[in-house]
Amino acid sequence: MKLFLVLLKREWWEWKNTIFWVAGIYTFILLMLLVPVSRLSHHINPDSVKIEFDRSFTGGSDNQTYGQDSYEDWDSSEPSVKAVMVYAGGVTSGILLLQFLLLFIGLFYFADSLYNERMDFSTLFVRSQPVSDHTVIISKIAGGVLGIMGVSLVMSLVFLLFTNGVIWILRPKIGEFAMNVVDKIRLFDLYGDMVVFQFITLIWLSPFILFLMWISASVRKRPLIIGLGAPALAALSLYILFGNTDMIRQIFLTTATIKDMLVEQLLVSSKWMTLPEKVELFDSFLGYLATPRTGVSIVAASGFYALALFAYRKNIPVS
Amino acid sequence: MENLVQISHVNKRYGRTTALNDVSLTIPAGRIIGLIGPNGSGKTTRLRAMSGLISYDGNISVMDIEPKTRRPQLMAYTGVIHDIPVLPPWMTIRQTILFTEGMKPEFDREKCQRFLDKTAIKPESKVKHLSKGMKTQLHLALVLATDTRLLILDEPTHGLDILFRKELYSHVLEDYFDTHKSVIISTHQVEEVEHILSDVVFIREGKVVLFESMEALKSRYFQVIVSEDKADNIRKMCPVSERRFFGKTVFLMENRNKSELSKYGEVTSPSISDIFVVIMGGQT
Repeated sequence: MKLFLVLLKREWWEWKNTIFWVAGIYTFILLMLLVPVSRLSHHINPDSVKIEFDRSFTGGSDNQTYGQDSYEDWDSSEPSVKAVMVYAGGVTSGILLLQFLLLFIGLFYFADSLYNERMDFSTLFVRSQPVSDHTVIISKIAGGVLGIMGVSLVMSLVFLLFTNGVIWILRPKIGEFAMNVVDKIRLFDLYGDMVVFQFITLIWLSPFILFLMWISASVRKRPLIIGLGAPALAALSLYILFGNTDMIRQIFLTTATIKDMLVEQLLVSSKWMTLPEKVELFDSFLGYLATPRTGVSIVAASGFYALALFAYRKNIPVS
Repeated sequence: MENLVQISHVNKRYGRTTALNDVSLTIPAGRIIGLIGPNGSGKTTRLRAMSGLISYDGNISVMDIEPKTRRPQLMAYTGVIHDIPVLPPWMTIRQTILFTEGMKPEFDREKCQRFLDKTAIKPESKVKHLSKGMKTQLHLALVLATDTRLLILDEPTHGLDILFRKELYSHVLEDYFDTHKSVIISTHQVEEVEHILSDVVFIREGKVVLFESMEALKSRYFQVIVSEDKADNIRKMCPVSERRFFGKTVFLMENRNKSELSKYGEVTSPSISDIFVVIMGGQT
């Protein structure tokens, strides 16, 4: 275990600069966005924000319900509804930007993880240490997963602080109804959910992660391009040669499902207007986890792990 | 004497090329072995097999550990320096020390620091900013500060200048070697290691051509330098090789009486490179 932790520390040393840069740039972009938000807020006329929402409370503030149950019932011409929709759109865009950045880091990390070691010959240094090949590869996977989740959590925190900053700026302008809705979305309470869903996302993406590591351990140049290009080429070839769209659909399905899940993390999906009082974390978690897809992902990932291990052992650099 | 390495009928092929051809070798503890052969003779393959880096047919036992299946255990007692810089270039010197300390419990940080204090290497420098000689010095410091029983040096002076070369081997001799440890040095630059070797192994096309202690080799081979008028007398004794040198003839003799040879000229011990050239070149 000690050796594994030393290898993890090694991953941190190697990638910490990248992580700091990405987190810094993301924070900087968000902070810069606060400037136009603040300036735009002066142009919102509070008198134009009509509060026409029927406040049919059924109890105290903790038991509030809203008159409308679904998104379709809402009048999007209402300025207050517009404010909420802009807010929801902002949250969704922010999450997607965050996930895009994480995906970007993840792709680079896993595609380079074993490739870089071979190219700079440092794999020979690692292999002269008393650690097994399994430990080395698992430390790379763990380093990537922990790194992505760690960055995700830190950047999410930054994003949530940003969101609350925007709300604070706009609070006097956007009307009571909008504020009620916004207040109902307990962003910080849902923070734990995000960790869980990140974990499921990574399980579902594990075949692709291990595929990239296999490529990383095998090719002589451009592992990322080959790692991304090979599945795309295979899907395209299947379509052109046999008219088979299964693989193309599978690629889009993966992306779409993960996007939906990401959006659901902060309850800004199309169902968000119902605003449940309590987030059923584990119901939702098991609903995603206990699926054939998880099983298939683990089996496929195991296969790619074996290939990555074989390639790692076989491809020893020669001076 | 305890045997540190036992290699028995080991074969290794890369496609149609035979890198190791039925190799058998026993290396006792407390020796410095020179693995000498031309480029492509199988030196690196042999060392990689002994380090558990590659698979092979046959049996290898290093300190009673099978390298192929138990490399991590073997590496706890073995230090390896390659012919190319292998330290991660993005690491700082301090990180390489911390990493090695975490990996090898026997690592002595103070010893490593004492070694580095004699060099121009700064702890906050990155490995990629060091010269090749400095990288080798750093790697040597990391390896010598670990109390390993076997040190494998695969062409360690490749690309280094003469000062670094001399320094490297003197460190190996002074700071590492004792009667419980062994060093295996692979090189094709025979002359730079022969003064520290206790045994020598000549390799050609994956086969062991000669494996002798330096004492045995020196008592077996003599070099006699004679004037032209006495050269025919030596030729009748079937010399191993003959060459002209500043108007005289130099003969390499095998299994001959030294006092008998001294009647005809000056008798000296040949260099390993002379013996190497003759044996590997097949000259007579």
